[in-house]
Amino acid sequence: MWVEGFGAEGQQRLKNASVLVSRVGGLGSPVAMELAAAGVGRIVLAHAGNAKPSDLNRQLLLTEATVGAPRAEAYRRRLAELNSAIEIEAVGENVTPENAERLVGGVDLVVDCAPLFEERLAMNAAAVKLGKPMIECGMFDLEAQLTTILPGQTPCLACRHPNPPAWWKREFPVFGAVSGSLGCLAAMEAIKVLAGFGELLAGRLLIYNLRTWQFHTVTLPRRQDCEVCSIAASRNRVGSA
Amino acid sequence: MTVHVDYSAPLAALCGVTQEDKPIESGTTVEGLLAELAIRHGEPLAEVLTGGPSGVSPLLVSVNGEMVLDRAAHTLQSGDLVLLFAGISGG
Repeated sequence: MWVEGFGAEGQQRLKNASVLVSRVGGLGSPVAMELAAAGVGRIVLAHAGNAKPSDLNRQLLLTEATVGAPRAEAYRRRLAELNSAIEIEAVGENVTPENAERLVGGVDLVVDCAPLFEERLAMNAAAVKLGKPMIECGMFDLEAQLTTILPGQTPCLACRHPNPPAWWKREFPVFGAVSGSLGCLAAMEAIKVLAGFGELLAGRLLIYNLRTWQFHTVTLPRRQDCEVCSIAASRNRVGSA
Repeated sequence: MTVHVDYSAPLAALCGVTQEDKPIESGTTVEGLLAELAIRHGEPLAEVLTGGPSGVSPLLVSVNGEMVLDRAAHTLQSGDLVLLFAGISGG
């Protein structure tokens, strides 16, 4: 609460806020942990399937004892040990076009940590349609990318990727320390959006490479013919006129 | 004149180079630079830089921190920082 611009009011805003984290792997785990530690009042953890031994190199909410058990419930139990004063909901589903609006519609903000562009684009479409801010993050090897999507104000994910890039594969090189670093940055961005302080990565993409220590910030343009956010942008223009 | 080119991780994995200084002729566009880099590095990077037979590439380009949408219209200046990157996802 001693952080300038945050204070008791910011803490109360976090307590009143709800966040969807999908999925809760190497990225989503540190996001969820930091949001729980910061006191976000309700966290929804969406991730299908059971924990595998190969998850343990980066998924900090899992332990060897949870291998074989449903992931989402294991995450929920561990987070509840970290902070019993908040509400944590486990959803054993990954985001799809069919469930995206239900999952996104139930929270104030989304942190997209999904490994597949199909999931990310489904979340993006639902977030833009429902006017929910979305923190967008991804990683490959020792590189990480982060941006903040504010519907009606910034470009959306579909402005950069109208369709899933054909080259992207489900399996990719990952160190837990890389996904962990990005997860912490994404959580901080979510806290800033929810509490209403600090400068956001709205409309800008942070790209950093821990192999070379190169850091870039790229200004993102809105694609005028974007089928997802062009309607939200025009709605915002009308609303502010 | 010379521009500095940074390759993001998925592209560096295709060509083994993370950054380089590239001499260019005056008037070279982003599209022209990509064509020169495709020849210089060959496959598999070339297909990503030029779109390959499908003409559809996952490549994204920024110059001095501004994303470039019209690569044929954007003329490079000496000292420009060109970042070649691609969408990455999850972790």
